[in-house]
Amino acid sequence: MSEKWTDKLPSLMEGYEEAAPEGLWDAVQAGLAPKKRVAPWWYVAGGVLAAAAAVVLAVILWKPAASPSVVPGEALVQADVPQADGPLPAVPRADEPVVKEVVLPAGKAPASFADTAPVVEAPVVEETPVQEVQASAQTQKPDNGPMEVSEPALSAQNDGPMALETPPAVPKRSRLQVQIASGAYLAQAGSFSSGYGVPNNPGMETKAGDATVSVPMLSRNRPSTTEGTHKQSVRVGLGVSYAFTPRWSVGSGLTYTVLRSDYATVSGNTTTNTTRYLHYLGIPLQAQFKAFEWWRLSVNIDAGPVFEFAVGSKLDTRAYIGDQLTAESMERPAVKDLRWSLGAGVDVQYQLFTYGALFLQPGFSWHIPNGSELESYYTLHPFSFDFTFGFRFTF
Amino acid sequence: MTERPPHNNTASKAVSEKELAERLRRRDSEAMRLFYERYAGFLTAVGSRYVPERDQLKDVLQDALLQIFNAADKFEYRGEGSLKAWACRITVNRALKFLRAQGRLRFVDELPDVPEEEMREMQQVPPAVLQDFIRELPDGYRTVFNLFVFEQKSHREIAALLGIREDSSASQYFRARAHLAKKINQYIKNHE
Repeated sequence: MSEKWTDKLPSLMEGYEEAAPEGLWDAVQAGLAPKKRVAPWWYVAGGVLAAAAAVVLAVILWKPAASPSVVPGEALVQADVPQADGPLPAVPRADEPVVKEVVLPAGKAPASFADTAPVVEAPVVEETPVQEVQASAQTQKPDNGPMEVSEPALSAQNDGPMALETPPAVPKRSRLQVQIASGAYLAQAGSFSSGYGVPNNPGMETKAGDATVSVPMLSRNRPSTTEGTHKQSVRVGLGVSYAFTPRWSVGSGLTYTVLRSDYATVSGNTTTNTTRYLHYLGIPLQAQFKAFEWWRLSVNIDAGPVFEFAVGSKLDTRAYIGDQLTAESMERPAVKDLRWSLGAGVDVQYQLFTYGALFLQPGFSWHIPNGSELESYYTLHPFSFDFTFGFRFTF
Repeated sequence: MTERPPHNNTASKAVSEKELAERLRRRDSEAMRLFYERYAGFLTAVGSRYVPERDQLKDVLQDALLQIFNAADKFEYRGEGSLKAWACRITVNRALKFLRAQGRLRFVDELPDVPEEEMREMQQVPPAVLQDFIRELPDGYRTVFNLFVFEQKSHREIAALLGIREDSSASQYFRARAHLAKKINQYIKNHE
């Protein structure tokens, strides 16, 4: 059976009208009263992120002037270098050697630097009482021996590679990290094509129009093909992690991802381009292991699941005859999609200053199939390599 | 069901669609009334193909008309008929949103698979009867059928719009079409 009778149906129904429901106009008029505008979700989300960034900056600016009694390790730092104008020296871990009286970032110092360090003792136990350390500092402070040289001074005297620049101290006792990250999947796009035999009609935008509609209606009997790509266009996130040992930490946060799909349906000289954006919010759960640390650099291994749910979508459609744009529309259909992903990556971090570091993280993700019929980058590429970069604040 | 709308849209036809769109953009209340007089009957017919229940249809149309009036400044005039087509799309989107919120867009095979009959002279069937036949289809079938036939969406677009597979859309459409063909033929046979 041909398609013809359904092709005729729209024209048969074209002039058909029904009586509007009783009281509709009154209801519409009542609804036309000025309404309080509700801020869109992205506006609210932007405000929340801005507020979070402001808090983070406030903490960073406030932290250096904080009381020395925050943690014992910090007390040690301040007792040893009480008037230092330069970067705060690091607090050694229990398993690191430490220079007597002057705290050097021994765990991060290169060999040349370590060679110049005159006296190295056994590791200092983290739980050193504050009072004891402070007393030690007071008794040792008058001593102007060769060891009582602050880090900048030491750097100035040193002709080795470390002489020109001192790595920023990292508050190693700090356990809380906040990170702002963005990323993209390395395999950016996946394409597909289909020819369903029942083509799209680019004249759809004016189908309900009058006889003088400028866009011609086309027959559905012409063959058509649909081609397209699925890709990820945006992924940003805000996360918090907590170190429960010097090497292990766990974290969570919030991510926002946009998946983009482009469809092009061609029928004769007409083309309909549809772009769909799927917006997801995600909650990652992540374990991180610090595998390697040297000077300003550290390498971590991250792994964990991410729970994501769709929060909205947008369909932009443009119809062309030849090169001429003939119709355009925008829709925001609601979507439901909940999914889990598993991911892992290697995180290379570069300490920019005491409380801030840049990081790059190549990794991969497995987007676990959830039975959804919604086609997207996640369904086309269940396995994908990704690349994340961002800024990490340490407190 | 088939009565004409109680509107006197003679006056509204004196205003071109372009002028009407421009006045709607300026939130001219008289233009809103003219728009209602001109298109309320058409939009009611469109909306009732998706939401047949009269009381629920009123809610859908109210939301659609409010959106039309509130978003008129975003409308871009592209020739005679474009305002009507734009209003139609908004009404359809509102209807889809309503059906989604009601959990009525279930795309299961409710209708038995029947062979499609050769269509007889469909011109004999009044539009109101055709409209009734369409409204009698289950929600999922009816939605896909309307989007495909009246909104001229491809199955891929319908799939993207409704969050279903392309072949699910095609399957729903073909079953709906077969059942409609059977009903229309039966009607023609009874009225010969």
